[in-house]
Amino acid sequence: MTMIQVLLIVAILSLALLYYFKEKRAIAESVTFFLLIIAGIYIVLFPQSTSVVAQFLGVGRGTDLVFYCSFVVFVFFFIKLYIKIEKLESKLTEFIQKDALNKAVDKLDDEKSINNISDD
Amino acid sequence: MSHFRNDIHVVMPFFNEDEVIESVLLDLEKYPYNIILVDDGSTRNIDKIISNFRLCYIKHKINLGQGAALSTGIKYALQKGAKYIVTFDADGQHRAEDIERLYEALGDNDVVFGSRFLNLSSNIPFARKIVLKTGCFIGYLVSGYYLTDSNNGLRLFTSQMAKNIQFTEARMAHAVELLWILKRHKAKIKEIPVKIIYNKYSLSKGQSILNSIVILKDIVLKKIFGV
Repeated sequence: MTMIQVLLIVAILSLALLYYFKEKRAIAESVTFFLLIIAGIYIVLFPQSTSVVAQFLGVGRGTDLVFYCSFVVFVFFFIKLYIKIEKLESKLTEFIQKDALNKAVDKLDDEKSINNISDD
Repeated sequence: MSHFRNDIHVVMPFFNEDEVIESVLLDLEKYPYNIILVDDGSTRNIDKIISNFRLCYIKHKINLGQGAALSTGIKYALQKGAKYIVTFDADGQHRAEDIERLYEALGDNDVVFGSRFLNLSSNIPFARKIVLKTGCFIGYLVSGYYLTDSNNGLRLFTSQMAKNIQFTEARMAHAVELLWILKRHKAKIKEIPVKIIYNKYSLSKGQSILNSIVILKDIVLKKIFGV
C-alpha cells in the first residue's frame, strides 16, 4: 500500500464521518476550504512542489496527485449540491401543498348540491 | 345508494385533462362518493367545467407531479374523516363502477389494487404491456409484493393504511414507492381485475420503458442518501 492510497482512503472516510457529525461539519468544511485556497495558490506559484509530494506519497507525477485530490473534492461537493437541491425541492413541494390545502374549495358539505341523488 | 357516503373519498390527481374531465365526473357522480379533485398546476382553468359538480377542488399553484397530488388529496380526505380512500385517474381510463368492486373485495385487507391484466378483455398495446411489466418487476424487487399491474392508478385504501402514505417521490416513481411504504407497514393487499379504457386520448400519454429505469435510479439514490 502506498502512502497516497492510505491518504485518499483516510480522506474519504473522514468525509463520510464528517457528513454524520453535522455540527462540526461547517467548521471542518470552512477550514478545508481555506486550506484548499492556500494550497491552490501555493501549487500555482511552485508547481514543482507537487512532484516532491507525489514522490513522497508513491504517486508518479505531481499532476496525477493533483488530479486524485481534485477528484475526491469534486465528488464531495457534487454530493453536497445534490442533497441541497433535493432538500429545496422538498421544501417547495411542502409549501405548495400547504397552500393548496388552505385554499381548497369544498362543495362536499353543501346541502344544496345540484346533482344530489338522494331518493327522498 | 340514497345518501352520500361520507366514508368513501375518491382522490383524483388532475393535470390539463380538460377534454375528458367532464365525462369522468359524469361517470363518477352516478355514485355517492366524495370526489376530491387535486389540480396539479394545470395551465388551463376548469372552474366552468366543474361548477356543476359536487366535489372538493384543490389546486397546486405549480406542477409537482402525480405523487405529490395524491399525497395532497389523501391528506385532505383524512382531514375530512374518510374511512376509505380511492385513487382514480382523471384521464378516462378508469370506470367508476369498479370502485364498488374494490370496496366489496376489501374484507380485512388494507389495500385493494385494480389490475388490467387479470381481466383479459382490456386491449393492451404490446409495447405498453412491456413497460408496465417492467414496472411490476421493479416493484417486486423493492417490496416483495408482486402485483400484476403496479402502475394502475385505481386503488382503494383503508384510512389507517392511507395515513402512512407520504410520497417523497413527487413524480411517477410513486407507484414503486407506494409498494415500499406498504411493505414497511406490513400491509395486507389484494388485486382484482378492473377494466382500463384505452382511447386515443389516453394512449397519447404514458411512460416509456426508459422512464422505469430512471425511476429505479431515483429510488436507489434516495435509499443511499436518505433524502
